[in-house]
Amino acid sequence: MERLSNIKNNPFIGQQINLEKPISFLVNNIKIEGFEGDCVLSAILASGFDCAGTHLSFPIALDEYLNLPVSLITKGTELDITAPVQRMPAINGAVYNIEGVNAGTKISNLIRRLKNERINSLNINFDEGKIDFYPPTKQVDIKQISVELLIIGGGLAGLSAAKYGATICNDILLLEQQNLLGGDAILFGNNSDDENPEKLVKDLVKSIRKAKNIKIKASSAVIKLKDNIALVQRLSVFRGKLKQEFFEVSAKKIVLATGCVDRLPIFNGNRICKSFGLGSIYRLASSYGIFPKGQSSIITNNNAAYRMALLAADAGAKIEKIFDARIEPKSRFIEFAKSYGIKLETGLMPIELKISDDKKQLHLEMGLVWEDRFGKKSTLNVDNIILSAGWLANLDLWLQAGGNVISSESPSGIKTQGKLKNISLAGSNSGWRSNFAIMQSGAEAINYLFRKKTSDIVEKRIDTLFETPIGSALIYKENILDAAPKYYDFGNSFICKHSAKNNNIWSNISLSNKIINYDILNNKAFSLGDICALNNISKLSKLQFEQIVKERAIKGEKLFSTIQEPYDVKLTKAKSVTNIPNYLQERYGKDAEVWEITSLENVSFEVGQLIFANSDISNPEQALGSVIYQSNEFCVALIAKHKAIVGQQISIYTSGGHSLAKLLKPH
Amino acid sequence: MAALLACSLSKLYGRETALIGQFAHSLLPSHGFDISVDTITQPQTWRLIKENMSPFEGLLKDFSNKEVYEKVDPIFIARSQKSANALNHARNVANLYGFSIEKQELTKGVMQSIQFRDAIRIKRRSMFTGLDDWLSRNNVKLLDTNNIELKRGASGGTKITSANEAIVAKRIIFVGDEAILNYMPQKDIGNNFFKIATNTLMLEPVKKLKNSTIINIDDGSILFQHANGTIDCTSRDDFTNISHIISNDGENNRHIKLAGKAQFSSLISKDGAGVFGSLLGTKLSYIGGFGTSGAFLTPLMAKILVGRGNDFENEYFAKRKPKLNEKLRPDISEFFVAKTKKKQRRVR
Repeated sequence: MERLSNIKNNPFIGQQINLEKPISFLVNNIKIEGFEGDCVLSAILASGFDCAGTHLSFPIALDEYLNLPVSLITKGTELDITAPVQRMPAINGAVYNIEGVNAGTKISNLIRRLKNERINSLNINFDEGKIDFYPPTKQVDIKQISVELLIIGGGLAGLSAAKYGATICNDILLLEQQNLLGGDAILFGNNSDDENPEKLVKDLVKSIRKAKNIKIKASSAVIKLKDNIALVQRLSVFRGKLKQEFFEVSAKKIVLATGCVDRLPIFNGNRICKSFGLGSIYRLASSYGIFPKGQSSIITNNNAAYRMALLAADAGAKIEKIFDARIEPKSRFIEFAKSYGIKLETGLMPIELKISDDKKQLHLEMGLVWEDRFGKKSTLNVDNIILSAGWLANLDLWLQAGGNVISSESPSGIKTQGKLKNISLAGSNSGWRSNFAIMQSGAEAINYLFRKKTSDIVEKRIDTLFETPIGSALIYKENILDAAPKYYDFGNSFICKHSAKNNNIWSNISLSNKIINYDILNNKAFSLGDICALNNISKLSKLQFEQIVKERAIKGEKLFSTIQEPYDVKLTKAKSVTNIPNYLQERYGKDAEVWEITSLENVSFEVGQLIFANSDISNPEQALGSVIYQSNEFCVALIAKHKAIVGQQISIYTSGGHSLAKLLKPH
Repeated sequence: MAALLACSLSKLYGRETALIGQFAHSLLPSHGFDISVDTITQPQTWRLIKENMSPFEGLLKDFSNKEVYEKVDPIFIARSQKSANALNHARNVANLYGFSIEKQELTKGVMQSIQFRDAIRIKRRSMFTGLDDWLSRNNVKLLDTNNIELKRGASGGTKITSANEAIVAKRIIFVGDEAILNYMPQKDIGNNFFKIATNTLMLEPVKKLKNSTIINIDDGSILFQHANGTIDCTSRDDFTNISHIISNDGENNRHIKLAGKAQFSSLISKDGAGVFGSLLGTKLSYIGGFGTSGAFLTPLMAKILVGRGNDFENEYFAKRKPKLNEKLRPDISEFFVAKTKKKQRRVR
């Protein structure tokens, strides 16, 4: 990626960076250059890295959805400041460490840096399992905060909820994980006669900043939500130093205005390096002024992609072509895109994406769509691919809070079901699309939580004759042998299908199965996107879908973070024979007796050993008793009464055969 | 277990059999394990398991190309004196029936540890993906599980109506914990079973553990590691013991990541010996509480249900009939722990 050239008076202004203050820092021994205000991810991407590492030997694109944890290192000691790369502020002169990179790679990075060699990959090996950001496990200071209303998300819905909430409630906290308020509203533009989103955001921010009963905390991410308590990590930079704060916010009412994330088109090679999610690119461009380098093409099924192409073209980026899976789509953004000279091909679906041997170009294969079949294929070479298969509601916190999700026929594939008493969704995560409906849903969430009269939310849409709705999920079902894996979602679950020839010489000689299939049966946590894709491909029943979401969509949970010591058991034995174990009750008759026994061979016995009348020990059903207590002083057995005579010789089964003993007296 | 029993009735004894039940999706955490050995203290149970391994394997011969069961060498661990005694007794009895068992070295907090050799584990997830086909091939009719209604018919049979069809069954058998919890009268559940909240976890791959199958008999936790390193485990407790086993076995097993989790109710019969048969005065039969090894007795259970059991087998199951009050059944207890102890003082 590179910094955009024309970012003045443009939404892709790179609002968070100060171009006059260049900085540099180290990540895993690699020198990274950026600007004050960059996050670690944006600076890495702007320094020419487009690859996070490898999975199944294929290069994986570096993006925010990987949620890579990075730690700030001071004087060789790891502090308790770890956060995902997209939230970690870049500090001049700092040293960072990203998990999953082995020591050998770090040394080779150092050598390459000294030789001034260009590196484009962080070289993380994702085969070893998920590398994720988890809530802190070491002792950190956590400030306790209590509020009446907590709003999570500072986009249009969250801002509207705060504004309206301020008329009802005196104690509001608004949390936004980005440094800036407004969310992704500008990407989607206005719908119908909505006001433009820039103005809407500006007005809302102005009014809530004025309100004395609203506190706003930006750069504050909710990393866990349970029972109306949110664990929040806030990272800020003060006088060039990174400051971390943890809050435990206890809220009577919570609005979740968490927005949407990109859906991934499903085809082989869909996460190969130099491919990016549209929403992710939008956030990087608007906050940090960076965009994929060279000619980019877009694969899409929706109109926001055109809007994005226009914003990018205005900012000096080169958008070569847009491939739209919809047949003859209509949108005012499409018309604008054409007038910008952006080429458009419709009715095409991606089939395979490959990277050239020199890792400089992508080779894209597209096919014609016709009633779920694929026709003529075309291929082309591109520098980058931007992928947009629609949007998936960001419902991870909703699920953590105990909310339900069911499958739906909508392009996103899911919707929420039921309500929570003190937690309400608002905005695009509950399916609203127009700015008007998103803002209204923020206010209605407040009405619901404070038990006020609610109204129906009105979705304003332009007639489909003029604005073609978002298309169905982009899925190429065939799996291409030896192609790069076909992933089900962005993110770090790496659920994928991949088939490759096994080139191992031994497997060829043994004529065993020569095709290796990796598939989703690996025990890995799924993302909601994975499950939606699975549903699109395998047609789960509604019940199965719900169960899989409930039992397999795990986010931010790490088990046994503190190594547990075993509980020691009391090693002293009971002082006397008290109870006959339940499993021996009546085994040797209702009137079985407890007898003291002694070995005739000077051996000690074990509790549980079987006692026989003679040396025939072959049938346990013929046993006349069992040892039930053993101490230094005496040994006690439960014996069938009718066979018990003082002095009688008995055989006790031992692992080596049997040992002779005799009955001493009733105990 | 219900599917295995249904198929046994149809395939081995030619009974017209219908099955109502939804098999768990192969992606869901498994609600339990089926392993052919357990902390079994009654000699008769060991004998029947031994005698029935061959019919069990025969039953699954035509399943498909897939392996639906495999050999494992499970380790049983006891952390209290009582359970150590029981484990020792089970080892002694099983040894005499020819089961190969070795004592293991004791580690901190463990009072007894034994390893069974060549036990069988059913691969539930592999089995679930091919069950429909297998049952259909063996003439077991699968009824839609939606909107099931049971009505006693005039001829003595029961009319079962599902979403799209109706059949009349001469006999109805409720097999497994879920069926019993849904269809046995609450009072009778209370007379015959302890209801236990059980958790199950799927864990992302970790380095290979020394043993793939570990069973802690004090809290009923079972851990199984697949060949690819992933782990399935169930527990009635808080997984502390499982955490200890994994994190102390292999230097790189300290970051254990969750891949799935579920909670469900399981049943333990009040004497640990299982429940088999009809409630007095009804034609409804119940089978449950036979523990991890119960599935391996399904061909035999079918044999009893069609009246072909020998005297020994008939007597064994007759003793396990559900009781109308707690005192009516002869004492045939197996070892079990229904409640886990509160955490003991941690010793440093």
